[in-house]
Amino acid sequence: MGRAAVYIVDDDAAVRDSMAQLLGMHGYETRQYADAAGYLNEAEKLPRGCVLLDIRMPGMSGMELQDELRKRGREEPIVFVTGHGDIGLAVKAMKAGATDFLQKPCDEDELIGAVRDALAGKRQAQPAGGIDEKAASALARLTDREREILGYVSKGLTSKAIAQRLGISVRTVDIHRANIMNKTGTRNVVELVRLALAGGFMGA
Amino acid sequence: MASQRTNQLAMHSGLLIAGRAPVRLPKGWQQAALIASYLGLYLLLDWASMIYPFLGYNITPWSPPPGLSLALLFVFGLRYAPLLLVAGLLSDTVLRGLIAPFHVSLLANLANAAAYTGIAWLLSQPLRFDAKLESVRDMALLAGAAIAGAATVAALVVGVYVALGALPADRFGEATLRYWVGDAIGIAVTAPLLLRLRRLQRPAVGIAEMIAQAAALGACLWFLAGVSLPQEFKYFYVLFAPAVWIAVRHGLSGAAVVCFTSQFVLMADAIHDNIGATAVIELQALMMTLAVTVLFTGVLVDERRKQEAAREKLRDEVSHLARLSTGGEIATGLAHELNQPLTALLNYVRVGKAQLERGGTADQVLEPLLKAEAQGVRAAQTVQRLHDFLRYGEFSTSEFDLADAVGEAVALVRVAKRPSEIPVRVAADIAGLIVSADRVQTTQILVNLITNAFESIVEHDVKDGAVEIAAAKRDGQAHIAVADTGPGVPAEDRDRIFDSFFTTKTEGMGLGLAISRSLAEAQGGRIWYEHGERNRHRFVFTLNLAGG
Repeated sequence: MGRAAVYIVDDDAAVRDSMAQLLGMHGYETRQYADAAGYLNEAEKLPRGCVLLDIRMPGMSGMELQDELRKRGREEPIVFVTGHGDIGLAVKAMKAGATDFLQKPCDEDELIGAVRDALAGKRQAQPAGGIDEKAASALARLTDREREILGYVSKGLTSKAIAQRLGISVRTVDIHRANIMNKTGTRNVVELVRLALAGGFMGA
Repeated sequence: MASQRTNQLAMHSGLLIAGRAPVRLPKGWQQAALIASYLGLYLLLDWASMIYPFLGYNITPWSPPPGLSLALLFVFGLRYAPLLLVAGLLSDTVLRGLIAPFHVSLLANLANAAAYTGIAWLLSQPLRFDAKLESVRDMALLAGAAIAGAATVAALVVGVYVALGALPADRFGEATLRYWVGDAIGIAVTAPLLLRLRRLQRPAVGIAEMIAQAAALGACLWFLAGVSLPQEFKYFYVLFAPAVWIAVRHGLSGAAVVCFTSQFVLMADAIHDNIGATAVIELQALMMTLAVTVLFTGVLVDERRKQEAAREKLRDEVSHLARLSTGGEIATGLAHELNQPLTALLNYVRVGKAQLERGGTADQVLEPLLKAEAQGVRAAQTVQRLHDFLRYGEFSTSEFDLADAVGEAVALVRVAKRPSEIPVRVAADIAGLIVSADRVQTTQILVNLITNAFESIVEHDVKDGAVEIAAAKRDGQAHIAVADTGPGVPAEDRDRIFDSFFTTKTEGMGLGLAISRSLAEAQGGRIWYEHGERNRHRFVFTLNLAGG
């Protein structure tokens, strides 16, 4: 067996090429695909690897590719790469069995860590059972209101939309969000949502 | 406040002295210069207009000094009122050698100065007269001061002469008429010119037209000066043609110059031909009708121009607001759009760093760095494009390649409507088509039309939807067409799509096409809708070709 393979599917040539170079520096074999169909056509013949998948693409989207792969009974680990404001989509993808998701522009350690874990067969979220105890205990410290807001955040709602739903001010929502991040020790919304998934918060 | 006043003083004394650029003088000197200018100009005008004095008194059918005095009081304030008395007395002494006893001259000039000060006060205080003469109301107030005010002053001053026995009582009416006509025409012709002197702007018309105007006015005056008396009255009307022409093109400033020039030439001719006091009064009555017609025309033109300028400013502001609203939509997509180059840039920098750490060759380090740089430029261009689009600018025409504006517009809509797979086909012959227009506003029209096309395709779920942009030169203009494969505009809506607040979309205010139309028309173009079968309907707008 040669080096571990990462298949990069992204419609942006520069993003694809730079990801490939960076992963190459970390010893991974990479292949690039400009669209979902390109990967789907070759998937059967490729050695086992992990898919680094852009969630929004023209033509077949990342989510649709995931569905199609599962329909064909394929089980390669998928790490989604999302743009800003795609949290709702990312959560859906995780529930549908994605291994992990990263937000662009992503941290080098996070990228390498996510790819390594994915290739090792680790899953960040455990929708079918197994709950990460550490994450669960962090979430247990939240108040009811904070849990409610975390629920909306995980669905990808903005502070403004949450404020409208709850009939409170945007500022109050932001204060709650800051408190949630403090209590859970997360630095951004992606980390927060990953923690929520890992802690079984959105298991149902 | 104080320094503003001082500047104003400097400005005026400068203008009054020599018509040169304002010179900064110490405050006391400025005041002295103003007083000297006023007195000097007063004497000059009074001397020039010393025609047919009634029994040798300063009662003439042409009297510009009251126009000068009123201008002084309007611009510099009523505190200069005592100067009116000083000037009158000085004039009587120097120019006429005090033909009346001093106390008669003193009282007559006192009555004159007091009455004009009262008129100036009445206009500027309770009536809120604006000496900038920018509205018909202000012009009407000045005309009222000239006609009704001068009549009052004439009766008052002649009354003083009669009461003191300097004039026979039975000549009261005759003397008052002459005084009245002289002062009224003097104010009407002199005051507007002086009030406008400080606001002279570069003429808005070309040099060739100005020469033609001057030639026409000169020819008419030369003709009137050449013919003898009854003909001069009979043909006076020819003067209206060049006078109205100039007033319509130059506004009040031009009208004031025309009146002053005509008055001066005709009076010089009257003196030269020695036509007699009665004929001069008749000529002055004609002059008054000319002055009133031309001055009001000038003010109306100024008012209309001001309204046009205000409307243009409003249009620029509305279009800017509309861009900001489009910009809000774009900004949402912008975060995403910037993420791509930033992601790539960071990755390349990390690759370069890793290469350095493991002792890679210079080329191995340089390659990712160059790629990172390119991504930085890409991000900067995205931001710059949005910044250019959102910037508030007054309408400014420049020459540019239409393909550039189309490219920017497509890129902006792509950011706003991401993710969008709808292809935009830009006809190849657009490149190299150089137009002369406002670049930002042209982009705005294109953004509006392309956005509408996208939304129509998405809303009606058109299969294989596409947008096509083409351009052609026709009748000396560029015709730019934006077509889409959507269903087009329903027949019943076609008359209303360019109206403000008319919309068929669930979101949006219905301003896009209305603004597009006002922008196209502002650059001398038009916009319309052509309906056809699928993919044959389109929005077309025109722009001026460069050098056309």
